[in-house]
Amino acid sequence: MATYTNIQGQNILIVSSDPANPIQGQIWYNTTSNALKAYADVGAWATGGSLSTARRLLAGAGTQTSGLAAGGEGSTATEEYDGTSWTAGGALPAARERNAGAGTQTAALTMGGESGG
Amino acid sequence: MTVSRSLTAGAGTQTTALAFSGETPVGDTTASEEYDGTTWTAGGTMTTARESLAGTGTQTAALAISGIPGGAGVEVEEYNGTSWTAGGSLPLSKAGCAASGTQTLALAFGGNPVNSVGNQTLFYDGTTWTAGGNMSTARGNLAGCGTQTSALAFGGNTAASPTTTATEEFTGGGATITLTTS
Repeated sequence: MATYTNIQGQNILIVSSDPANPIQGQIWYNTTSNALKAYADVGAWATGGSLSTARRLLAGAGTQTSGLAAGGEGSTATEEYDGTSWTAGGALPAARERNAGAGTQTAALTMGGESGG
Repeated sequence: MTVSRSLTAGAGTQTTALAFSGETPVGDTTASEEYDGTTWTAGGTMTTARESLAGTGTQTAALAISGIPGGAGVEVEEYNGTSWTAGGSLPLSKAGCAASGTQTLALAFGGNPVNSVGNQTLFYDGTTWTAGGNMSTARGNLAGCGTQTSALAFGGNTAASPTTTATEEFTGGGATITLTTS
């Protein structure tokens, strides 16, 4: 049977106070509270501003507050996100779908894909 | 690019990018290509050819996530700028998902089949995947960006509609939980 040490590569920490910066899934034993504890980060999703152009198979780049959507099924549309809403960016020279993206909102790259229709 | 492809994945920046796997006119490819801002050159060959995969990271520390057919669709590969090696497998196939973050601190969200995994989020720590909070709009073939703890999901298709305008923002945030007391 696998043990915690087998799986995690380390023993469970035995500490008198909780770690200041625990990582996802970390487990420790607190000798002050005599409790086995763990750190769980599940996060949460919140609704953001809607794209102007509904689409799938598009590319993305950037950050949560400076995002970029480019192309998608039959689309030349590019949209820029500011953390609240999307506004139109410069159109792709031709419709491109099933493409990939990289980079930032202001220095992005789209790769591959199909011309779509 | 040297290899024409769609349903591919990418990572990096505008001038230091990586494109990997995807569907070509003759089938799915294991080829990756590196971009220097001007030209594309061949990168390391992946183990599993696939399409509809997700990618994140940088040109020299990239992560390839899921895809079809790609075996069971749970395959993950890590790139070090030269070669690809196996990463921790997903607990379930998430082809058509999006990803954000880095090779060792990644987030994968959405994917197909929409009804079963389209709202699911997974954290990656460089070794294993663990479940995160669910999206409100289950979807596949979406796009994403950001980091593991500050991500953006947008577009895609839902079970009821071929396209969506829905955008969701992910914020990581953990808590210490007590498993047992003596």
